[in-house]
Amino acid sequence: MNCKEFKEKVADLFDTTIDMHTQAECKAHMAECPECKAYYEELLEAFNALQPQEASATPSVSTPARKQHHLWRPIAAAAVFLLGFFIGWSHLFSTSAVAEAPRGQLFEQGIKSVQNVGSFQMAVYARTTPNDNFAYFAPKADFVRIDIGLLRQNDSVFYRVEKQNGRAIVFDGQTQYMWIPGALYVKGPCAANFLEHFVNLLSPERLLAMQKSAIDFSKKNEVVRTESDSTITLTFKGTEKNSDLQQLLETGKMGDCEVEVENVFTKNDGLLRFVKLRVVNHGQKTLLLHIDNIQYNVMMSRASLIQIPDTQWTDAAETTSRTADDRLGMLQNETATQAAQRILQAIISADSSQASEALVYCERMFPALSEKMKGCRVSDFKERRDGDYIGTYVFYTLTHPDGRQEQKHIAVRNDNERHIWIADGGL
Amino acid sequence: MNKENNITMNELAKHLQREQPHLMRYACYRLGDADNAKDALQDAYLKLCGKLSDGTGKDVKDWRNYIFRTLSNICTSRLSQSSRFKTVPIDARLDLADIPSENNEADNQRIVQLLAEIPEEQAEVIRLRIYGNNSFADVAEILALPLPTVKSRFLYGLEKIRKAMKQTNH
Repeated sequence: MNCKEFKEKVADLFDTTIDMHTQAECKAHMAECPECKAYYEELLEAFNALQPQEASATPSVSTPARKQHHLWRPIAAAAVFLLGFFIGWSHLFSTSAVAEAPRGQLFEQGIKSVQNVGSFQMAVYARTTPNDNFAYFAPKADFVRIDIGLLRQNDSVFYRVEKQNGRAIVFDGQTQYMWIPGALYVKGPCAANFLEHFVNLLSPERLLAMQKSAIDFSKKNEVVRTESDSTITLTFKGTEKNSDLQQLLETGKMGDCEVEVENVFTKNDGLLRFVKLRVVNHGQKTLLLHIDNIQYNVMMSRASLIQIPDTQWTDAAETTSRTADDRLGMLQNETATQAAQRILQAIISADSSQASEALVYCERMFPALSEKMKGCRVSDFKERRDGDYIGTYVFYTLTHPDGRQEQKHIAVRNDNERHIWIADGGL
Repeated sequence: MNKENNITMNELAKHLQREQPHLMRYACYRLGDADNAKDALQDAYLKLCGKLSDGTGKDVKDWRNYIFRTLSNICTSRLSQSSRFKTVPIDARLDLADIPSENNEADNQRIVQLLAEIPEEQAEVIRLRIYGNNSFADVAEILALPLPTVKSRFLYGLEKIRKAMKQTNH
């Protein structure tokens, strides 16, 4: 494909259904032609700007300018629901079959089909920030592109989840790697769960089963089927929580947040292609993420998929396992405030050994943080919990050497295997 | 009304119910506010019922596209009667894509302003494609245009919107 042909076909990438061959050709051309790629991205930016935001939710933590770590857990969880709909619906296309199927059964075929998917690729556009945790969503944020690729080979799974110009995670079958270019390079075993709730995107069977469970649990959770000439749309609306949803959300709470998910399947192959996830909070609706095309069973190079930067990696597992038993006991018995004090003192005194476990994700930033806070004092600590965040915010007064004071906060959480507080944001 | 008309009325009702969110959204962004959009949708429904009553409904092959075409014509008619073609004063051109929205009406206006940056013929294609959730082929049928023309207008519209967004960000 040359540039002229690309410009003739690029509009097709914005159609309701996208020919796989056309898409593959355009993608291959963009990989070689930065100008055409930039052109497409500009079109996409305008296309995204035209998407209705519909409304923004009210932030639940009012603090200073430093960005919040609202882990919109229900949103992330629901986002994951949709991405699990890798299904073949051909046998359900007849109206009578759909009309007679129990509501929850709409997902059963999907679960079976998902188990047979060998690979998938998709671009998720989510309201978030490039460097924050994958589980972080912000209704007022711009859309950030997140590229996801997953490959199943033999009995192993390999995946790559990458925010454009931001945080990325790769799993090579044994080890997870998470990095923010220039700022963070950490690795850990599978159990490290760097993706948090976002990991559900990679277990579509689980998501479908949870959604089916939600539908079966309460009639207040709805699924509505609509149809056009070329597509079938399942719109899921969930408000009622059941034990599966609670488990998915871990210790977070859904609150009054309703999730509305529009799943569009192409009729000719029955596969989920487009997704829109909206959050309805206090009657106001916000489009939080959308996926414009999902590709299945794509040819994928495992080597490319699991390629990681060539750099020094901090081993998250080693850092915590080095902790002696008596120290571990002390760390486990700390309050969030005590942990925050210890972390901040470590930074101020430039002695990371005082808080090495807590600062495992901030190791690279430590020298810069210490330089910034050199000579400062911290005082007036106050904890605050927010229902949407699994950790704790600890607010404090930072007094600079020149006497100037600032109100700041640090986010800490201890939902890890060892139940010790770890710095999660605010630094 | 005979049985054939009854069946077609049922089909019409089903299409309207199914497509109502898309029809409503399209009309909102065309006319600029929800109340006007509701009126237009009501007018479209009455017009379509009239078509069935006089027996010409059986000639319609694709009801979905026909509904959109009817609504599009009604919106055009309303706009020309009220002379409310959308213009945006230069001093009101803020960050078009970045106006923080606190409610639906504000977001509606944000999008209406974005679409006001481009010729109406391009905006109409974009509205039908995005808010009407129509494929390009459907849009071509609704507007009785060749498919390549529809795609060109869509692309040119996005290009101009992107350019306008860049200008207001500097």
